[in-house]
Amino acid sequence: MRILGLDLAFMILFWILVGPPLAAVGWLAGRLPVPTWAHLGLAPLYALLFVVLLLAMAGIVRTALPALKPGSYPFPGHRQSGAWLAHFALMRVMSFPLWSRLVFAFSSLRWLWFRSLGARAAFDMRTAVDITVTDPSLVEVGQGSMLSAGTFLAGHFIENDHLLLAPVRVGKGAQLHGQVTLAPGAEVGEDAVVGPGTTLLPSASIGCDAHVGLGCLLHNGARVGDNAVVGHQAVLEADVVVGAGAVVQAGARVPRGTVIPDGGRFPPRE
Amino acid sequence: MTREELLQLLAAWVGDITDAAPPPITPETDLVRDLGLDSLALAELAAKARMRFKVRIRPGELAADLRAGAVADLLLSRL
Repeated sequence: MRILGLDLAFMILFWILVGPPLAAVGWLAGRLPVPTWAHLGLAPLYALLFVVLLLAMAGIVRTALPALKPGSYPFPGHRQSGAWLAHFALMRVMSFPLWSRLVFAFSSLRWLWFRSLGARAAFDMRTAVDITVTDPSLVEVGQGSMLSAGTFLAGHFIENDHLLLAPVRVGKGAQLHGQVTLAPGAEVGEDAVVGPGTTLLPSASIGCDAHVGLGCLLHNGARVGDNAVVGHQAVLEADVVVGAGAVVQAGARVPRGTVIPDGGRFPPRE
Repeated sequence: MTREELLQLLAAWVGDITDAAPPPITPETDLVRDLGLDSLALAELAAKARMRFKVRIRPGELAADLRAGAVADLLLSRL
Protein backbone atom coordinates (compact mmCIF):
# COMPACT_ATOMS: atom_id res chain seq x y z
CA MET A 1 0.00 0.00 0.00
CA ARG A 2 2.84 2.35 0.85
CA ILE A 3 4.33 1.92 -2.61
CA LEU A 4 0.97 2.65 -4.24
CA GLY A 5 0.63 5.74 -2.04
CA LEU A 6 4.04 6.96 -3.18
CA ASP A 7 3.06 6.34 -6.80
CA LEU A 8 -0.13 8.32 -6.32
CA ALA A 9 1.79 11.21 -4.76
CA PHE A 10 4.26 11.10 -7.64
CA MET A 11 1.38 11.14 -10.16
CA ILE A 12 -0.12 14.21 -8.49
CA LEU A 13 3.25 15.99 -8.54
CA PHE A 14 3.71 15.02 -12.19
CA TRP A 15 0.30 16.46 -13.01
CA ILE A 16 0.92 19.69 -11.04
CA LEU A 17 4.20 20.24 -12.86
CA VAL A 18 3.36 19.14 -16.39
CA GLY A 19 -0.36 19.94 -16.65
CA PRO A 20 -0.30 23.77 -16.49
CA PRO A 21 2.55 24.22 -19.02
CA LEU A 22 0.86 21.83 -21.47
CA ALA A 23 -2.45 23.63 -21.04
CA ALA A 24 -0.80 27.02 -21.54
CA VAL A 25 0.94 25.92 -24.73
CA GLY A 26 -2.29 24.34 -26.00
CA TRP A 27 -4.22 27.52 -25.22
CA LEU A 28 -1.66 29.65 -27.06
CA ALA A 29 -1.60 27.33 -30.07
CA GLY A 30 -5.40 27.45 -30.27
CA ARG A 31 -5.37 31.25 -30.33
CA LEU A 32 -2.82 31.63 -33.09
CA PRO A 33 -4.46 32.58 -36.41
CA VAL A 34 -2.51 30.09 -38.51
CA PRO A 35 -3.65 27.12 -40.62
CA THR A 36 -3.53 23.70 -38.96
CA TRP A 37 -0.50 22.52 -40.94
CA ALA A 38 1.51 25.56 -39.72
CA HIS A 39 1.31 24.27 -36.16
CA LEU A 40 3.71 21.48 -37.19
CA GLY A 41 6.30 24.09 -38.14
CA LEU A 42 5.75 25.86 -34.86
CA ALA A 43 6.07 22.66 -32.82
CA PRO A 44 9.74 23.26 -31.83
CA LEU A 45 8.77 26.66 -30.44
CA TYR A 46 5.87 25.11 -28.57
CA ALA A 47 8.29 22.55 -27.11
CA LEU A 48 10.69 25.25 -25.94
CA LEU A 49 7.85 27.29 -24.45
CA PHE A 50 6.59 24.18 -22.66
CA VAL A 51 10.05 23.52 -21.22
CA VAL A 52 10.47 27.09 -19.99
CA LEU A 53 7.06 26.99 -18.30
CA LEU A 54 7.89 23.57 -16.82
CA LEU A 55 11.11 24.97 -15.36
CA ALA A 56 9.16 27.86 -13.87
CA MET A 57 6.67 25.44 -12.31
CA ALA A 58 9.57 23.40 -10.89
CA GLY A 59 11.05 26.53 -9.34
CA ILE A 60 7.71 27.45 -7.73
CA VAL A 61 7.13 23.94 -6.38
CA ARG A 62 10.70 23.63 -5.12
CA THR A 63 10.56 26.87 -3.15
CA ALA A 64 7.39 25.56 -1.46
CA LEU A 65 9.23 22.43 -0.23
CA PRO A 66 11.17 22.35 3.06
CA ALA A 67 14.88 22.93 2.47
CA LEU A 68 17.20 19.92 2.72
CA LYS A 69 19.65 20.09 5.61
CA PRO A 70 22.87 18.07 5.58
CA GLY A 71 22.92 15.33 8.21
CA SER A 72 21.96 11.73 8.93
CA TYR A 73 18.27 10.97 9.49
CA PRO A 74 16.16 7.87 10.14
CA PHE A 75 14.58 6.74 6.87
CA PRO A 76 11.65 6.73 6.59
CA GLY A 77 10.01 8.55 9.46
CA HIS A 78 11.99 11.75 9.84
CA ARG A 79 10.73 15.09 8.53
CA GLN A 80 13.93 15.54 6.49
CA SER A 81 13.40 12.10 4.95
CA GLY A 82 9.96 13.22 3.77
CA ALA A 83 11.39 16.47 2.44
CA TRP A 84 14.09 14.55 0.61
CA LEU A 85 11.48 12.25 -0.98
CA ALA A 86 9.60 15.31 -2.26
CA HIS A 87 12.77 16.88 -3.69
CA PHE A 88 13.75 13.54 -5.21
CA ALA A 89 10.35 13.14 -6.85
CA LEU A 90 10.63 16.65 -8.25
CA MET A 91 14.04 15.82 -9.70
CA ARG A 92 12.62 12.65 -11.26
CA VAL A 93 9.85 14.53 -13.04
CA MET A 94 12.32 17.13 -14.27
CA SER A 95 14.72 14.40 -15.46
CA PHE A 96 12.09 12.70 -17.63
CA PRO A 97 14.05 12.05 -20.86
CA LEU A 98 11.40 13.56 -23.15
CA TRP A 99 12.25 17.06 -21.92
CA SER A 100 15.50 16.71 -19.97
CA ARG A 101 17.46 15.89 -23.15
CA LEU A 102 16.05 19.04 -24.74
CA VAL A 103 16.86 21.10 -21.63
CA PHE A 104 20.44 19.86 -21.45
CA ALA A 105 21.04 20.61 -25.12
CA PHE A 106 20.75 24.35 -24.35
CA SER A 107 23.22 25.99 -21.95
CA SER A 108 20.69 28.54 -20.72
CA LEU A 109 17.90 25.98 -20.21
CA ARG A 110 20.33 23.66 -18.43
CA TRP A 111 21.31 26.48 -16.10
CA LEU A 112 17.62 27.16 -15.46
CA TRP A 113 17.12 23.44 -14.72
CA PHE A 114 19.84 23.53 -12.07
CA ARG A 115 18.65 26.82 -10.58
CA SER A 116 14.97 25.90 -10.54
CA LEU A 117 15.83 22.76 -8.59
CA GLY A 118 17.94 24.71 -6.10
CA ALA A 119 21.49 24.01 -7.28
CA ARG A 120 24.13 26.70 -7.06
CA ALA A 121 25.35 26.36 -10.60
CA ALA A 122 27.42 28.77 -12.68
CA PHE A 123 25.98 29.80 -16.03
CA ASP A 124 29.05 28.88 -18.05
CA MET A 125 29.62 25.34 -16.87
CA ARG A 126 29.72 22.62 -19.50
CA THR A 127 27.89 19.33 -19.18
CA ALA A 128 26.98 16.34 -21.30
CA VAL A 129 23.28 15.69 -21.87
CA ASP A 130 23.28 12.46 -19.89
CA ILE A 131 24.63 13.49 -16.51
CA THR A 132 22.67 12.51 -13.41
CA VAL A 133 22.18 14.89 -10.50
CA THR A 134 20.01 13.20 -7.90
CA ASP A 135 19.86 16.06 -5.39
CA PRO A 136 20.29 19.38 -7.19
CA SER A 137 19.53 21.47 -4.10
CA LEU A 138 22.65 20.02 -2.44
CA VAL A 139 24.90 20.58 -5.43
CA GLU A 140 27.28 23.41 -6.23
CA VAL A 141 28.99 23.58 -9.63
CA GLY A 142 31.59 26.28 -10.29
CA GLN A 143 32.23 28.53 -13.25
CA GLY A 144 33.98 26.95 -16.23
CA SER A 145 33.72 23.42 -14.84
CA MET A 146 33.05 20.40 -17.04
CA LEU A 147 30.83 17.42 -16.24
CA SER A 148 31.36 14.77 -18.90
CA ALA A 149 29.06 12.00 -20.09
CA GLY A 150 27.70 9.75 -17.40
CA THR A 151 28.78 11.95 -14.49
CA PHE A 152 26.77 11.08 -11.40
CA LEU A 153 26.40 13.55 -8.53
CA ALA A 154 24.52 12.24 -5.50
CA GLY A 155 23.79 14.32 -2.42
CA HIS A 156 22.15 11.41 -0.65
CA PHE A 157 22.96 7.89 0.45
CA ILE A 158 20.55 5.43 2.09
CA GLU A 159 22.06 2.71 4.24
CA ASN A 160 20.76 0.75 7.23
CA ASP A 161 17.50 2.72 7.33
CA HIS A 162 19.36 6.00 7.53
CA LEU A 163 19.42 8.79 4.99
CA LEU A 164 22.68 10.69 4.65
CA LEU A 165 22.40 14.14 3.11
CA ALA A 166 25.51 16.16 2.33
CA PRO A 167 26.51 18.80 -0.22
CA VAL A 168 28.46 17.94 -3.35
CA ARG A 169 30.82 20.60 -4.65
CA VAL A 170 32.61 20.93 -7.98
CA GLY A 171 35.01 23.88 -8.00
CA LYS A 172 35.64 26.46 -10.71
CA GLY A 173 37.32 25.04 -13.79
CA ALA A 174 37.29 21.46 -12.49
CA GLN A 175 37.06 18.73 -15.11
CA LEU A 176 35.12 15.57 -14.35
CA HIS A 177 35.67 13.11 -17.15
CA GLY A 178 33.22 10.37 -18.17
CA GLN A 179 31.43 8.22 -15.60
CA VAL A 180 32.82 10.03 -12.55
CA THR A 181 30.72 9.48 -9.42
CA LEU A 182 30.59 11.91 -6.51
CA ALA A 183 28.85 10.68 -3.35
CA PRO A 184 27.38 12.94 -0.63
CA GLY A 185 29.96 15.26 0.90
CA ALA A 186 32.41 14.77 -1.97
CA GLU A 187 34.29 17.82 -3.12
CA VAL A 188 36.47 18.57 -6.15
CA GLY A 189 38.65 21.69 -5.97
CA GLU A 190 39.25 24.40 -8.53
CA ASP A 191 40.93 23.32 -11.76
CA ALA A 192 41.26 19.73 -10.56
CA VAL A 193 41.06 16.94 -13.13
CA VAL A 194 39.25 13.69 -12.30
CA GLY A 195 39.82 10.84 -14.73
CA PRO A 196 37.11 8.65 -16.29
CA GLY A 197 35.39 6.15 -14.04
CA THR A 198 36.76 7.54 -10.78
CA THR A 199 34.52 7.34 -7.73
CA LEU A 200 34.57 9.54 -4.64
CA LEU A 201 32.72 7.94 -1.73
CA PRO A 202 31.10 10.09 1.01
CA SER A 203 33.20 13.03 2.20
CA ALA A 204 36.17 12.21 -0.04
CA SER A 205 37.79 15.30 -1.50
CA ILE A 206 40.24 16.38 -4.18
CA GLY A 207 42.16 19.64 -3.80
CA CYS A 208 42.72 22.48 -6.23
CA ASP A 209 44.82 21.71 -9.33
CA ALA A 210 45.10 18.05 -8.31
CA HIS A 211 45.04 15.35 -10.98
CA VAL A 212 43.37 11.99 -10.31
CA GLY A 213 43.75 9.36 -13.00
CA LEU A 214 41.17 7.02 -14.48
CA GLY A 215 39.35 4.36 -12.51
CA CYS A 216 40.45 5.50 -9.05
CA LEU A 217 38.47 4.84 -5.89
CA LEU A 218 38.56 7.28 -2.99
CA HIS A 219 36.96 5.74 0.08
CA ASN A 220 35.09 7.67 2.77
CA GLY A 221 36.97 10.72 3.97
CA ALA A 222 40.03 10.24 1.74
CA ARG A 223 41.61 13.59 0.95
CA VAL A 224 43.83 14.47 -1.98
CA GLY A 225 45.75 17.71 -1.46
CA ASP A 226 46.27 20.63 -3.81
CA ASN A 227 48.51 19.86 -6.80
CA ALA A 228 48.71 16.17 -5.87
CA VAL A 229 48.76 13.50 -8.58
CA VAL A 230 47.03 10.14 -8.14
CA GLY A 231 47.85 7.52 -10.76
CA HIS A 232 45.35 5.45 -12.71
CA GLN A 233 43.32 2.84 -10.82
CA ALA A 234 44.76 3.77 -7.44
CA VAL A 235 42.66 3.02 -4.38
CA LEU A 236 42.76 5.35 -1.40
CA GLU A 237 41.18 3.63 1.58
CA ALA A 238 39.19 5.52 4.20
CA ASP A 239 40.73 8.66 5.72
CA VAL A 240 43.89 8.55 3.64
CA VAL A 241 45.52 11.97 3.31
CA VAL A 242 47.58 12.72 0.22
CA GLY A 243 49.60 15.87 0.91
CA ALA A 244 49.94 18.86 -1.38
CA GLY A 245 52.02 18.01 -4.44
CA ALA A 246 52.34 14.37 -3.37
CA VAL A 247 52.22 11.52 -5.88
CA VAL A 248 50.43 8.17 -5.63
CA GLN A 249 51.67 5.64 -8.15
CA ALA A 250 49.23 4.08 -10.62
CA GLY A 251 47.62 0.92 -9.30
CA ALA A 252 48.66 1.58 -5.70
CA ARG A 253 46.37 0.69 -2.81
CA VAL A 254 46.96 3.12 0.03
CA PRO A 255 45.96 1.58 3.39
CA ARG A 256 43.34 3.18 5.63
CA GLY A 257 44.49 6.27 7.49
CA THR A 258 47.85 6.60 5.72
CA VAL A 259 49.19 10.15 5.62
CA ILE A 260 51.44 10.94 2.65
CA PRO A 261 53.30 14.16 3.47
CA ASP A 262 53.39 17.20 1.19
CA GLY A 263 55.58 16.42 -1.82
CA GLY A 264 55.83 12.76 -0.77
CA ARG A 265 55.31 9.60 -2.81
CA PHE A 266 53.42 6.36 -2.37
CA PRO A 267 54.92 3.87 -2.35
CA PRO A 268 58.05 5.71 -1.18
CA ARG A 269 61.15 5.41 -3.30
CA GLU A 270 63.98 3.30 -1.91
CA MET B 1 65.13 33.10 -14.44
CA THR B 2 66.31 32.61 -18.03
CA ARG B 3 64.95 30.21 -20.60
CA GLU B 4 68.12 28.12 -20.37
CA GLU B 5 67.81 27.84 -16.60
CA LEU B 6 64.18 26.81 -17.00
CA LEU B 7 65.19 24.08 -19.45
CA GLN B 8 67.69 22.76 -16.92
CA LEU B 9 65.02 22.84 -14.23
CA LEU B 10 62.64 20.95 -16.52
CA ALA B 11 65.31 18.29 -17.05
CA ALA B 12 65.76 17.95 -13.27
CA TRP B 13 61.99 17.65 -12.76
CA VAL B 14 61.71 15.01 -15.50
CA GLY B 15 64.53 13.08 -13.83
CA ASP B 16 62.71 13.25 -10.50
CA ILE B 17 59.38 12.17 -12.02
CA THR B 18 60.89 9.23 -13.90
CA ASP B 19 63.26 8.37 -11.05
CA ALA B 20 66.25 8.55 -13.38
CA ALA B 21 69.12 10.89 -14.17
CA PRO B 22 68.02 14.23 -15.67
CA PRO B 23 67.84 13.67 -19.45
CA PRO B 24 69.53 16.00 -21.94
CA ILE B 25 66.93 18.56 -23.01
CA THR B 26 66.95 21.02 -25.89
CA PRO B 27 64.16 23.46 -26.78
CA GLU B 28 62.99 21.00 -29.43
CA THR B 29 62.85 17.98 -27.13
CA ASP B 30 59.28 16.66 -27.04
CA LEU B 31 58.31 15.70 -23.51
CA VAL B 32 56.07 12.84 -24.63
CA ARG B 33 57.65 11.57 -27.85
CA ASP B 34 61.31 11.95 -26.82
CA LEU B 35 61.17 11.58 -23.04
CA GLY B 36 58.21 9.19 -22.74
CA LEU B 37 56.17 11.23 -20.28
CA ASP B 38 52.50 10.23 -20.00
CA SER B 39 49.50 12.32 -18.98
CA LEU B 40 50.06 11.76 -15.28
CA ALA B 41 53.74 12.68 -15.57
CA LEU B 42 52.70 15.88 -17.36
CA ALA B 43 50.24 16.58 -14.54
CA GLU B 44 53.08 16.07 -12.07
CA LEU B 45 55.29 18.41 -14.06
CA ALA B 46 52.57 21.07 -14.07
CA ALA B 47 52.11 20.60 -10.32
CA LYS B 48 55.84 21.10 -9.72
CA ALA B 49 55.77 24.30 -11.77
CA ARG B 50 52.71 25.63 -9.96
CA MET B 51 54.20 24.90 -6.55
CA ARG B 52 57.68 26.24 -7.34
CA PHE B 53 56.61 29.48 -9.05
CA LYS B 54 53.09 29.93 -7.64
CA VAL B 55 51.78 30.39 -11.17
CA ARG B 56 48.45 29.38 -12.64
CA ILE B 57 48.58 26.59 -15.20
CA ARG B 58 45.16 25.32 -16.28
CA PRO B 59 44.55 21.61 -16.90
CA GLY B 60 45.84 20.60 -20.30
CA GLU B 61 47.71 23.84 -20.92
CA LEU B 62 51.09 22.09 -21.13
CA ALA B 63 49.70 19.66 -23.68
CA ALA B 64 49.12 22.47 -26.20
CA ASP B 65 52.78 22.29 -27.23
CA LEU B 66 54.89 19.57 -25.69
CA ARG B 67 58.31 20.82 -26.79
CA ALA B 68 60.51 21.75 -23.82
CA GLY B 69 61.15 25.20 -25.29
CA ALA B 70 57.42 25.89 -25.54
CA VAL B 71 56.86 24.73 -21.97
CA ALA B 72 59.71 26.98 -20.79
CA ASP B 73 58.19 29.89 -22.71
CA LEU B 74 54.80 29.23 -21.13
CA LEU B 75 56.36 29.32 -17.67
CA LEU B 76 58.38 32.44 -18.49
CA SER B 77 55.21 34.19 -19.62
CA ARG B 78 53.66 33.50 -16.20
CA LEU B 79 56.61 34.50 -14.00
